[in-house]
Amino acid sequence: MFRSLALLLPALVPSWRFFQTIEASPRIEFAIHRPGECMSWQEFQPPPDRLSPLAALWRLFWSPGRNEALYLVSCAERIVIDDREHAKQEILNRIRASIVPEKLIDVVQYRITLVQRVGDRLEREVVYTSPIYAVRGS
Amino acid sequence: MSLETALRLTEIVLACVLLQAALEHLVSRQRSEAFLFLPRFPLCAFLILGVFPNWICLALLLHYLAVLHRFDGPYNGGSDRMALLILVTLTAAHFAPDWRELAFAYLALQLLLSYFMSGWVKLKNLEWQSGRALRDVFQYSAYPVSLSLREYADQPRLMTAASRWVIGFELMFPLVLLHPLLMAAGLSMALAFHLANACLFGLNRFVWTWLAAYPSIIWFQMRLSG
Repeated sequence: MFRSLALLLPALVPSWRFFQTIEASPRIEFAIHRPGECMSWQEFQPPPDRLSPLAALWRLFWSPGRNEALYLVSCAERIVIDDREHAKQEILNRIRASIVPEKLIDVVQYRITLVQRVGDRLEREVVYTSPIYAVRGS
Repeated sequence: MSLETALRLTEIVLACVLLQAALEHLVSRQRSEAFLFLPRFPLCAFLILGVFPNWICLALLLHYLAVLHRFDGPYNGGSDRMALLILVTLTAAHFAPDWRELAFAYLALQLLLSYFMSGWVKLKNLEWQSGRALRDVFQYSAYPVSLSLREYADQPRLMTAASRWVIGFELMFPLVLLHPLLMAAGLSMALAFHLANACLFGLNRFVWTWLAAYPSIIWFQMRLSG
């Protein structure tokens, strides 16, 4: 009951402070580990290099992937700010669902990198690294 | 626009907004997520048809709370909050007829504040005034829908001009209450603003959710002017 109220209150009395300050921005990266192979981190759901105007217009009506990517950015922020277990599991589940394991022993790990501007330079800092999980698992 | 017409329009547009979001979740690889949104389809269909709108609004509100529990908070930030606010005001308007003007006026006020407060906090931020904050959005935030859009960060004059336009527009939005022509101009600019945000930053749900709240402010302006 209290949880429901806590979820409802920000909607009843919203603060509407969109983009008040531009904070460090999280990126989710994952790596698949295989015995004897070096892991390489790759960004999860990176944006495309280019998007045609027609594709951008179509996304007005149909954009499940983009909305999921934005939700995962929220999850990453929840981990950085509150260390929320639910957010960790959500990211893991979606990474698992997106990869096809080549071998049953494949394991996966993800990390969150914060990108921010310091002076005129962009700096990246790894702020969370997950445990190693089986690619197929509960 | 009468209160009844405004309420009905809001119900229909909101039902379409919720259906669109439910359809997007239906293709999720997370099967439990897809199943979670199934009840929305009949509920939204009933709301569009105007069948028991009071109970349907209440059911949609309870369902939305279940969705918030599932995602441990909003899935889509501000657009979830606005959709929930609209549902609360519609439900209140149906179950407390004597208070429905107040409920709908509250929605209109929140819509107005959604622009004004966003402009106010930017006005107080020197980085927004200089255009630096908008450059940061394009340069390294997670929002640009493609990597090529990051090149806009290299155009400081454009970023400064765009920042000031956004701040000015958001702060002046309350002027829509003064005259129907200002209302038409203000809502047209607001819609263009949301469309730009959708195309540049992928915030498509904001377009439709805010559109669902527009009848409230149109009615409110007419109500104020008698």
